[in-house]
Amino acid sequence: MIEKCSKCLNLEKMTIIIENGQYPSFCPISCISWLSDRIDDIFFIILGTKTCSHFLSTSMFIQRFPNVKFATIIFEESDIGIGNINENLSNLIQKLLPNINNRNVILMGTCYTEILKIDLMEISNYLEKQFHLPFIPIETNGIESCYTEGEDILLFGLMKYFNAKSMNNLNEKNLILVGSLSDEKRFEFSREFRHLDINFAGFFPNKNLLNIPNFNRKSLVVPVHPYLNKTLRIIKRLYRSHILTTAFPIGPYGTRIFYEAIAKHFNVEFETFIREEHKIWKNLKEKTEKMKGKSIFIMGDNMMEIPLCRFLLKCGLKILEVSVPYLSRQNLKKELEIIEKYQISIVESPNIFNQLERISNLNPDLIITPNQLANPLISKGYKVVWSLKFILPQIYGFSGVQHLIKEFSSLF
Amino acid sequence: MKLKYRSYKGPAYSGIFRVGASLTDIIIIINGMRSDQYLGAMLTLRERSKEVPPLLSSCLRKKELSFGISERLIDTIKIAIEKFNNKKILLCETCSVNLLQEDLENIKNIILKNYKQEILIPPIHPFKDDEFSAAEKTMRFLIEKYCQDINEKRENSVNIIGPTYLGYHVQDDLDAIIEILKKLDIKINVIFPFGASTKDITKIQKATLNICLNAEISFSLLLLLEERFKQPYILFPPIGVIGTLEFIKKLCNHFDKDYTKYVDNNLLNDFEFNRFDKDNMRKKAVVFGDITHTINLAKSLIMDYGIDIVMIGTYIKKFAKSFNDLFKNSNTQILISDNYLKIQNIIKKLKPDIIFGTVNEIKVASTLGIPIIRISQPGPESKKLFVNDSLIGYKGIRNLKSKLTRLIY
Repeated sequence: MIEKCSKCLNLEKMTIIIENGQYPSFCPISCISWLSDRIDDIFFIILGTKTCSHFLSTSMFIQRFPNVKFATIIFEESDIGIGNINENLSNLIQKLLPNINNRNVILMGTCYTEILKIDLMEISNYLEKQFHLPFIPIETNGIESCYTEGEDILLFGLMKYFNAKSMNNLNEKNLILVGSLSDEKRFEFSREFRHLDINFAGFFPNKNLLNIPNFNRKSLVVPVHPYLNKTLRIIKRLYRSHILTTAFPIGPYGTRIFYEAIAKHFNVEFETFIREEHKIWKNLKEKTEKMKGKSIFIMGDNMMEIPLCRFLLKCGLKILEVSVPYLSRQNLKKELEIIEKYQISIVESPNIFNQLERISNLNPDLIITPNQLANPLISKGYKVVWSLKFILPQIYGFSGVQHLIKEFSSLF
Repeated sequence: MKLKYRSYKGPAYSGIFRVGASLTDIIIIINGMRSDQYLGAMLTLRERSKEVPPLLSSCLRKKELSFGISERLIDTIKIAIEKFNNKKILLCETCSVNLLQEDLENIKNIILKNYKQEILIPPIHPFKDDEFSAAEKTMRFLIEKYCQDINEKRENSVNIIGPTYLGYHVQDDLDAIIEILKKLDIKINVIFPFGASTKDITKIQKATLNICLNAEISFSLLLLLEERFKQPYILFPPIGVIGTLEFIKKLCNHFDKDYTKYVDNNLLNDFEFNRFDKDNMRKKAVVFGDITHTINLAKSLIMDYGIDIVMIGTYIKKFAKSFNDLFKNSNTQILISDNYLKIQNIIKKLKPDIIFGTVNEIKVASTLGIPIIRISQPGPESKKLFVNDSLIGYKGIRNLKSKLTRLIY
């Protein structure tokens, strides 16, 4: 199915192909691995089946981040017809209390609770009265989301929970960044905004979970990751703040446009960023000379493909095809405008068997793949980069360009 | 409802996946969510495979929650028939999709009106079965379907039953046993299901003896083959010096060969390992894992090395009787449980000198400062090139001796 997106965005040269969706992806439950690294003071309880617990015990996510604190509660066949499960749950959580150790508890649902329509809000109210700890209900499910959207659903649930219990916020003009980051990146971003003399209210989510910045009618909300669609929609609905759509801070060109758009909104001068961008492109000249003219094929399973594609086009590579699980035309508007003149083909919800046929016809120099197809493609003679490497926080900002370009230049 | 920190056994459809991926002419269709394809990633990363995994999934979307699964499933089966003409289709189901209660036999009849492909549906319930019992039932289903009672000529040969992909040290164990069989000049008939095709299944009845490498998957299958085709079986693989000698004796008795010609006398003379210093160097060990690698390993540690075993255990409940019979008269504690915290607390109280366990015991070992050797699944283990790390047969004797001298002696 081919769709011309001229009506919604005034991009007449862009055509998008939609296929029937036969691609592999991981469960959104795996977001607990990188989030427990970036937020202190949380404990995860997952209400699911045997599959969920087996996936978490043996997957690569938990081995890479060994300090994750979680436990699963497994439903069996005898639990299907029972209406009220509050008492059985509280008996089991009594045994978990010494491990929880006064942290905030997050109750995650799975496909099982989605199909049987179990009400997590009622369970969390009951448990809060018994144990006097915050129990936050979140409805993750693997039905229509890829693994990075687990963070999106978690922030959406946090917004709903805290809005029900919040006080009135004062109206003031400030800046809020949305998206989880590591300590070093938070320090880097807040230092830049301090140099520009902007009223910076903080990050959401913070290092302490209950410490939420001041959302109000006059604040400016800027997303850092490209997969945060649901949270931005609910922030606009609850607080009526202004949401900025710019390029994402990946690569030197993107970070320059990111800072410039924020500075224009607050009427501050912003000429230092262009000089820094030119300095960085000069330092990278050796590595980009090696890569000029090579062709690349991107098979996507997280939502980070379009900003990566824009960075690689500015480096001088040629892109044969980009595929995305879901294309949000509102949030990626600026990125699509930059890409439009190069005339590449974009595929939404791809079919990997068709893509493998196209790869054997086109013969690219480098492929970005999901984990499942890495070893078979290497044995056929192609060069391969794992798409899992681009969810790390080190690739954002001006200082993250070295980490990004190392992945590609070391192969040529 | 149960509480779990880490799990030892997988769900039911992973058992079907293990058997189906090891056979060469089968395509697996998983009727579940999109995120249930993580087994394909585990397969290609651990086994370093050269082909795309034979896996398709008819994944559930919000449309199917209101209208029913049958349309999407029929579409994926048609895609599989068009692209893979000469392969057979194996259908499996996951836990949460089973709640929607779709009739798979009905869908099979709808497709058989227009197409001529074979569709196999093994009789498994995703809530009641776990990984090992599901794998056993699919193998039994395949043998009952394809192995008819045709009277073929018998040959003096041996079947090897049990090894599948995503096991533990599968290729290394096979190489060790093939080395022993080559020295004795015994022919190998069929290795099932590691690399076999469905046409090879009819040849299983030609052999005269079955050797089992994975007792937790194949015990009832061996009983079935003994009843129908009158083939005796050997249940556990040989570990240690005295273990390999007894194994060679059994094979020579069955095939009427002279035992003394094939014994490696040099190995026995070299292997004088602390036989005279047993009283001064009594060390304590803890053994925990699945069944093939624990029972015979414990016997070899007692008889060859003189090590005391303080606790022995497993997480599979079917074979509890054989543990109780063997260790009745000694001081060892027997533990049969699935509970991650209980096992850790018992090991912390006992404080052994060395632990033989799985990947979940690494945390206890590192906090107490005890060396650990991994012997069984579950646990990520990728295929090593040019190194054979198994504990079976002649190679196992050398590996175990070098590891023990490095770690505790």
